[in-house]
Amino acid sequence: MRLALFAASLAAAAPAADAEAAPAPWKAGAASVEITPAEPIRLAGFSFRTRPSEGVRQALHVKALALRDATGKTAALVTADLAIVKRDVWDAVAERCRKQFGIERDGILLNESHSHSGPLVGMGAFPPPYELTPDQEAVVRRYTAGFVDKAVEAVGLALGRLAPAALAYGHGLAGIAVNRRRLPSFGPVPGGPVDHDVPVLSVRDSRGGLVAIVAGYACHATVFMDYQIGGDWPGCAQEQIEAAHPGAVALFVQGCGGDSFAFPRKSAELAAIYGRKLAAAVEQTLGSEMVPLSGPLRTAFACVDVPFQAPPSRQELEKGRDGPDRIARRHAALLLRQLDGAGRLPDRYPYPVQVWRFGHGLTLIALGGEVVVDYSRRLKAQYGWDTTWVAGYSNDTFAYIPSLRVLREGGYEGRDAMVFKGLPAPFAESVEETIVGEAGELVRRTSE
Amino acid sequence: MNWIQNAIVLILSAAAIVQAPAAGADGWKAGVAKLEITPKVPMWMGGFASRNKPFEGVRQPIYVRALALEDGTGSSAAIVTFDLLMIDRGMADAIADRCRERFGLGRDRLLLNVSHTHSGPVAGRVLMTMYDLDASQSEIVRQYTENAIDRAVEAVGTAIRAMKPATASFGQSLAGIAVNRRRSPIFAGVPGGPVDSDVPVLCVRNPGGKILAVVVGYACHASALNDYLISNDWQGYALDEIDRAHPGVVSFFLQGCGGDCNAFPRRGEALARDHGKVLAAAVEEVLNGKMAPVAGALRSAFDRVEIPFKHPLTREELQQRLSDPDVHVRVFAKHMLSRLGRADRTEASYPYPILVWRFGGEFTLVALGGEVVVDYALRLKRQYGFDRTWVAGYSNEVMSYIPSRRILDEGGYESDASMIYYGRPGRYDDSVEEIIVGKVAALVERTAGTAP
Repeated sequence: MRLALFAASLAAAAPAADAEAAPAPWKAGAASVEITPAEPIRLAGFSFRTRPSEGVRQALHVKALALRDATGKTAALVTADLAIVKRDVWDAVAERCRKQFGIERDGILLNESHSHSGPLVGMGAFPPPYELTPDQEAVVRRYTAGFVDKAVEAVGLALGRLAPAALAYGHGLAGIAVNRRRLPSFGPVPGGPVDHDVPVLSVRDSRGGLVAIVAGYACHATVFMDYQIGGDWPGCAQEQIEAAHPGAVALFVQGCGGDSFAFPRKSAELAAIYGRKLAAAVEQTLGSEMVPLSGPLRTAFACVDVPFQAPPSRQELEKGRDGPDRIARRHAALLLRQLDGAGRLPDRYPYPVQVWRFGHGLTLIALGGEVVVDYSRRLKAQYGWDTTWVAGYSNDTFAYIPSLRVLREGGYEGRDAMVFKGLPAPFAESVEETIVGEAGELVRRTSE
Repeated sequence: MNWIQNAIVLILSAAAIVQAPAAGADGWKAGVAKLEITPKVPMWMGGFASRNKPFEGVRQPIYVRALALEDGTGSSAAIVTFDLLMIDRGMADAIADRCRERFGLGRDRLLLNVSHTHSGPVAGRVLMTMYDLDASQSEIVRQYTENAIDRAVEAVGTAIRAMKPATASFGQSLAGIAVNRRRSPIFAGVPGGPVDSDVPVLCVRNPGGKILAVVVGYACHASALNDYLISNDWQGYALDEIDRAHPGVVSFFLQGCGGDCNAFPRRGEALARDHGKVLAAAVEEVLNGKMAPVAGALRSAFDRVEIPFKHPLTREELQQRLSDPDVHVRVFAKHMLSRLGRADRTEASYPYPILVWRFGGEFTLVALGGEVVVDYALRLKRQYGFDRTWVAGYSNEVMSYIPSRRILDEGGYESDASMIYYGRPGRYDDSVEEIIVGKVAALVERTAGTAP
């Protein structure tokens, strides 16, 4: 009710006859809260790591951009320098935001950078594919509870800073990502595509000063593979952007980088270089003519069932439980426990799709999971490369999301990685059409 | 003679250790040479029509480098790379003729490649409608070109004389540098184009295992810098890094099918340096990893194939263009008319050079002329094997962009607009891709010999 009254007063203050002099159609606020773990913690993303972190290379942050359009519609984008956040954690953040701030689920968009130098998070609902000691597990639970608090805190801070703002959209290009399925460990399937677009949303206050810069890119953050905590190359990029614009908050939104990575890797200098390249692309975009975004902000969120292929039989699982591979043994045991408990293995997954539409200037499609690059290329081809931003790793990073092509090619993202995700079987071949269809439905819903 | 700073000749294989049992095990001999070709007199720089004056300083010296190879059958060959935007047919023929006369190298045993640096001097006579050269500047270019030819031949001779027993190995990595630039409306406004992220590396060592030469390929324009300082652009920084990591080595950059790919973002020395470091790190990955020994004979084939233009221009059509509002079109028309002689229309096709080198059973190097777009590399590697095929563009001469059928269908800079600068009568015929790929197949077949 308070929101509605506020919207009405804002509308009244805008003389309809003089559009040029109208106040900014947006209010915006941004906040950054540090989430660097305070104690050694198991890191996420690489199963070969066997012990907790041994130091901090770079501070981690959770960041929030709160937006309110002229109708009073309020939404918040939350990004975190973390590797993998599943729905148990993100749903907790979204639920608290709904209760505390009145933002509905479709108005909260949650994305992680996929830094493999970030800590494990989780509330125990989805055990990681690594063996943790009870002490290590307790550290992860403690950290996760603190992270949820800080994510909500960031949203609250950003909402508290809502002030008249102007939004603009543009894109640059950056050569950082290569399609990693060229390598035998992932494919090998040479010649795969990449998405080198750098979508940029700028948020300026009434004096033109930058309040927030949101930048996307489709590429794994796996330059570092050691035991130091950090944001990997997206962390470097955000530091670069914030250093160039003191006072502004830089938010990195991971794209459909499921099968892309920055290469070569394993050096601090390379991570800094990739960060500089993204920051330079952002800088050039900010310096170019960006398209002003008008309201209204229309949002939609839905979960669509994505079916799995037929699960393994109990016999196969029992055989796998005694097999030679540590990860496969653990996976088989996990599935057997599910089978014993529920009587059957899940045959589908409730897959989250979210769409934010900024007037006619920008449609942001946020997909769950480690989405391969085919999705962003297909959706941008369908809805317009220059007005469509496709994020992956949003709202629930529970599995790789292969396209039909990648599924049929097999390899890591199409099939093999499922054992790391605790899921019973590869996705059915309908996966791509189901997701693209749901995205289309939400785009339609936000266009009405 | 003092156009070009004093030549620095590096004969690096002289210290070859003879005691190693591996000496000549796979029959190779190798020698390298690196001669500086930094211009001394202010002259026009190649690559950007926006530049309006000669260079004002030197950011990096530029070089012509030669790697001479002799296989177990005693047959020599040479790779010559230029830190230049391009060389034209006149330069290539002059170098090839002299290398045949002086060193007995057949045309099929000589591979010429340019880095495509947009911060090098203008050389040769190609792309002339892009530059506003007066008579004295034209004369400087002519003399620089003569000297570059001399230096190239001298480098080949030096490398051949320096040949000592050696081993060769091949491997590949990946590097994220290039983007498909046709996303930008400046070129075509066609998003989603492909790139080729492969980094093929040929490593030549002396029998003691010391690296003599590293040849590295990548498909990407060298146009990160656009000022008035001479350099080899980001590729120059890459080669510097490799040379620093391996003192005494001569590293070579072989431009791939980077016709429609740029290093992005660009502008500014820091970014150029960053792109170079990424490539150098990819090369280190290969050198530190398991490389495949390259044995066996080096089989080679060179030929030209006619690639037709879609619409050769008539004299009348050219005369109409003399009054075109675009100055580049007017200059183009004047230039084409002056070349017409007694003919009533422009040439129907271009004799396009293709070179194929097969290194034993290990890998095949396909070297294509012109600014080849990336589709060719991807298609040829798909056909002959991504792990055993190296496709270079910008080889033996640069006469124009070489579009694929896809790019001809899409249109844009590489298929159409650039042809004005190159003084070619409009776009190539739709058949260009099939003609080139077909000729490559014939040459690959010719080099098959009895090798596996």
